[in-house]
Amino acid sequence: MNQELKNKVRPLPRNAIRQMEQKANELVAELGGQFRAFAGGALAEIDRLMAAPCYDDREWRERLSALAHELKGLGGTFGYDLMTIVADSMCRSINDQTVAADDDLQRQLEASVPALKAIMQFDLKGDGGSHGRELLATLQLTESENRVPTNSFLDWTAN
Amino acid sequence: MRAQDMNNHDGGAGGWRSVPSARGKVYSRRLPTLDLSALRIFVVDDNEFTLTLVKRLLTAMRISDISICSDPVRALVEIARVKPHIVLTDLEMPGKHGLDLVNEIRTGKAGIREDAAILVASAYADREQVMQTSNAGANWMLAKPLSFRRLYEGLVRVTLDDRPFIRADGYIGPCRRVHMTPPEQLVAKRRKSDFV
Repeated sequence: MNQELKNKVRPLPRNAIRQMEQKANELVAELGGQFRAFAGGALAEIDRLMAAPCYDDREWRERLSALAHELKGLGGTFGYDLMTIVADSMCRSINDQTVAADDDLQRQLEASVPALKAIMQFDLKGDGGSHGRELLATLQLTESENRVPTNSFLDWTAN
Repeated sequence: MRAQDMNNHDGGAGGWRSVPSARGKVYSRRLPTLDLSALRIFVVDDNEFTLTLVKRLLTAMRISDISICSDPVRALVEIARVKPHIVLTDLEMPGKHGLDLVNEIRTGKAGIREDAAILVASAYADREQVMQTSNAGANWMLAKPLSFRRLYEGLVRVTLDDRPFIRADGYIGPCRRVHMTPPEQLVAKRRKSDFV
């Protein structure tokens, strides 16, 4: 298969990547409004779930985890890197086996909700500047520790 | 255009910059610029919004033969019908896990070649998950959030993946003992065989 696959690709002028990326940025930017609506809906449901926390309830945890997972997976694509960092922290907290008995984890989860709302409300993109740093400090998260991995088997298994 | 031009990405404006990896080591991101328009891609993700996003990113890469599916159970039937060159799948999905889909493709249950290129994309991309994905026989894994460059890199890597394909008890997939050759080196090999 691989040779067959290789035969299907051809070299392009090197500036083509810039053109394609520019086009991609335009196409993704068009989805910005839809993303904000999607994230708003997810946040509303997270808010509803966190209003009556049931840390012992597996279904409740899975639903919360799924919502945070979606925000983590999409936030960075639309420039909301902080959303990805905070949602990643939420995912790890809710999926921690000890969350039902760990007050610190529960407090972390509770604090994440207003943080996510603030990111949307104040449109904190990228690192969010001083507001972003303040927000991460409040949550006791640091960007370097929580940076989404760059990728791939190579990066993580090469050493 | 000469094939050696593919190697001339200089990392300048619009080029691929070196970025620190998760362990702080610097890996080259200088990838060849390839025309991927002849590829047929099948995307499986339970999130419709993600499907829309990925379709747009692929369209920007000039790929027009794109099939999407939000139901991982139905995906198997659709893959058999579409016969894609590359399958891009999410992991955590209701009804079927992405790794089960990888396993079905590798064991010939998907109606396409067992050695079809498989790219996995997930927001759950910790070390353990990466190893599980590798052991399931996928060619490559992408950490969400997806971007144009991240997806493009993944597609180039699986397209140029030159690792031997292994069929052994308990494992079917690209050889895990061999690290994938960096794409820029693969392009140098191709200069002799494919583009002269």
